[in-house]
Amino acid sequence: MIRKQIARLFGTMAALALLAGCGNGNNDAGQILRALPKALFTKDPPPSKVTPEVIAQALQRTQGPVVLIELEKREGVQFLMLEIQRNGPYQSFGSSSRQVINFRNGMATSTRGLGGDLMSTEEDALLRLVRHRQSGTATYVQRFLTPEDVTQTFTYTCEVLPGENASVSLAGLKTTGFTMAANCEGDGARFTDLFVVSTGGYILNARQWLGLELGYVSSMTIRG
Amino acid sequence: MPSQRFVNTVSRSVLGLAGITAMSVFAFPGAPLADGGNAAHYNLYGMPGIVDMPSAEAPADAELMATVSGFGDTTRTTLAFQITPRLTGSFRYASIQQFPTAASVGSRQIYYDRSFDLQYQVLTEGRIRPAVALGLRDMIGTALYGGEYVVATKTLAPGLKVSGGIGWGRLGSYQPFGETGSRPTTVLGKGGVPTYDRWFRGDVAGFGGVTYAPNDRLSFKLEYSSDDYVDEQTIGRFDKKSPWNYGIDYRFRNGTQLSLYHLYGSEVGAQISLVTNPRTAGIPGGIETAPLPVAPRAPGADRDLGWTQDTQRVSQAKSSFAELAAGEGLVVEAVKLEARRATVRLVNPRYGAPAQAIGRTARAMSRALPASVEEFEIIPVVDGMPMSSVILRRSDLERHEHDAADVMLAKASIRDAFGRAPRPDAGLYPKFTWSLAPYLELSVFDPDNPVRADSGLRATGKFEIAPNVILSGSITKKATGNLDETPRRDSSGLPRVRTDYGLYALEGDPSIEFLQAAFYGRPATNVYSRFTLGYLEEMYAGASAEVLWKPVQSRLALGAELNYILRRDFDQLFGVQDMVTIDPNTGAKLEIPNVNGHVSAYYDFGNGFHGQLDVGRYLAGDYGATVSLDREFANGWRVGAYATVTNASAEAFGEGSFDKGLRFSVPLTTFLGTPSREVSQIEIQSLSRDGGARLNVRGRLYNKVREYHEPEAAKSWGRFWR
Repeated sequence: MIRKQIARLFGTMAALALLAGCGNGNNDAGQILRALPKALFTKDPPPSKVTPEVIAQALQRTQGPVVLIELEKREGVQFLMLEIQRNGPYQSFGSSSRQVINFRNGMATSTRGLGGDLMSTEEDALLRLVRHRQSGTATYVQRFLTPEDVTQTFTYTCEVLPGENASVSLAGLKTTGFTMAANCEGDGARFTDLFVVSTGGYILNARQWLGLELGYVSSMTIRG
Repeated sequence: MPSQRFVNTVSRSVLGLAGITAMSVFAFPGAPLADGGNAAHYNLYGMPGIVDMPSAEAPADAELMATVSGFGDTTRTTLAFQITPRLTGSFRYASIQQFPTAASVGSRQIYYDRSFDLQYQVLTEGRIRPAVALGLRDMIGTALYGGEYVVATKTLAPGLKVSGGIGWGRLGSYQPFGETGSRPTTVLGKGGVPTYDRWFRGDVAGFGGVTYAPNDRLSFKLEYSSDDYVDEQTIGRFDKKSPWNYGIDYRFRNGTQLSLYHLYGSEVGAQISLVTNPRTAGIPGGIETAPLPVAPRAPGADRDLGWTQDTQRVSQAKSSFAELAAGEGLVVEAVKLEARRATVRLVNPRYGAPAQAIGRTARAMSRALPASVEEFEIIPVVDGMPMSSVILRRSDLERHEHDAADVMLAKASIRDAFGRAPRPDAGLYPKFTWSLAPYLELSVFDPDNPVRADSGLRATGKFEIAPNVILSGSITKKATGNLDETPRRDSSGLPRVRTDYGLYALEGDPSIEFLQAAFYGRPATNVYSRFTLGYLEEMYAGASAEVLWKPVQSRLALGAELNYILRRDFDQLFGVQDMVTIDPNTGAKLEIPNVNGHVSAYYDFGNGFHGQLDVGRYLAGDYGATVSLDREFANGWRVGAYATVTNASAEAFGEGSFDKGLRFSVPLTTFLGTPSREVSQIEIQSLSRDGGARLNVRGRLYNKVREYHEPEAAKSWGRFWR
């Protein structure tokens, strides 16, 4: 008896779910319902890696700057981003899935669409030391949105130390330049950013900590 | 015992079965473990505590906890909320089987009871000082679980907490060591009134316990209970053999607590507590795609005004802007393009945060409009009413794209939009939208059945003749359900304005939920208006007129509403019936007045709390006031409570004495991770009685209007550049 009732209930639910609402307006709830089976029963594909062929294709497709990104915390996923806009010293790079990372002289200053985005930074002092390959102490600020949509500000003190000429490789690509390290601490976080700076003061390659959600993000200029 | 009506209504758009199902899967998306072994533990009452006894712990601010616990014949379902960092409140529905009283139901003699608790942490824990809390358990009504306590908790070592306290009422029932006066047992009014005459009176006994958490996941608990379970032993079949309880907790990464207990020497108990927090649940910043970058102008380009003479360039700029905005899910209904400024009439069907809609519109404008256009005026329009005018300088957008969002808030000017919005482009109206979707209507915590539900199909249609003239309606057809089984037909000392709801549930299939024409307007600066005509809600047809005064910068709003109503037929089709109602038990005839209405004041305290006061005449002709207080979050979550007191006497009102309830707004964005304007509204009303009842007319102005006003938009302004 009970089993029959349950079967009837499930039958009704299934029939209703099939309908999952139709119409010509917005239906965000229906969207969740339709996405459910996929979310529950499909496995994520292994994180993509960028191959030399992909890079060659991208360089052919565009004349503009290209950057390679690796997100360590997202299983080391790698992807290419192309410059889509310049605004003063800021370059916006976009991915094929419409995510954006903004850079200032090669230092990441914000991200969009990655989840747990870095919204903005106060990077003037840190960038000056790194670009001029000087040691010193700089105040650095990162801003994030909380899940409540409130802006949260983290202030760090960074000790910037020059390294030496070094070559760094990412996805089989090598860059040579002057390495700089920034040991930052404050507001409950401690991290070390690494930069490889060209003689012209452009950051060719960086490994930067972009917050609790994003973790360390590496970037390498493929074409500046 | 009283029933609870649990209504899932519709707010910004329709949330049918799809929403409910998705909510039940995703509900309580989890709050990450705060500080592992030091996090608060929940007891069998779903409150901070040990096993059955309270502790002085305070969960994280804004935490929402749902607990189901059971042992022996007792089941307790509790929803608790950390109202402020120190104040915890909870609502509980309990059932005890084989508990024969006059109010017990069915062959298993089930006794249902609801209760409300408050706990305040008077002292926070210091290096030496323990945390101290004061609590009122089951503080309203018949008080089956009534008890008060003072409890102290101290962390002796990481993960090791010791609690001890003294209790009154139930918590003073086992081996009391003293007494403070005598504790009355009579119920005040018709129940539903705070039991202040009993608080901290009568026998006093001591209780205490220890929790030890060797790691983030596990806790072991031991306690000495001062609750003697007198009623359960004398009326029910509970067999208490010992005051000692012990148990073990397992806590998952998302905060869910699973517990197993051995209780009172004779029973085994289990509990699950789900935890979420509107402040920390969901993906920070969301996962929607990036906005368009601002396109800065070349130096000197703004001097070129040649385009103003070129109608083709003008219409090209307008259409490419509208296309970019459409790509962001925004509707540009009109653009007024002048040499140095542009005014946009904007409809936002996607973004819950107004600043994000404004920001994405401004970015699109920077990419599409001629370089000489320096001033952007964006006017969000809702139901044809221009809600505010947000004026931004293009050079500020170019300069501050990579700065903190509050820089743009300081640079933006937000003004009243009365008379400022351009008329919508030809061809946009009339507009017809429809949907056909499953629905689920729940009625939980009824006296004879804790959960009843109807499900079926709902067809909804909306015909916008003009932006501010909207015909809309919905029809439901039940597929299956038991809402209409054994409808309660309680006596009432007032005209039966709500107590006949069982008849509407029984006869209304199919039913026209509503079918109305609404006219919205902006009669003057700071003033908004609504006039609605038709079948306004399931029980009443008629006309409803409302005006609202709300300056764009103000946290205060004042409103007035006047309604003329006719009682609909029970079958919820097109007919209306006589306004005289007949009591099914006494035969008393009483007439529902045609006219009711209110004046209202709304105030946003600015610290996350919002208050509302409505004074006027209610459906049954009773005069009085409703006070509401909500804790609000920038992302749209709301948790609130309200109470209505009218000149209807407790005797005329009946069970519960006066109307009160809890309400929750849960935005879907938290579960989606992408922007959405859908919000699920959940209301738990003490009881559907006739006193203090209001007309459930759709489209009330206040929440629509304030969304785009500065105090509200500023809360989530961080999304301007998102």
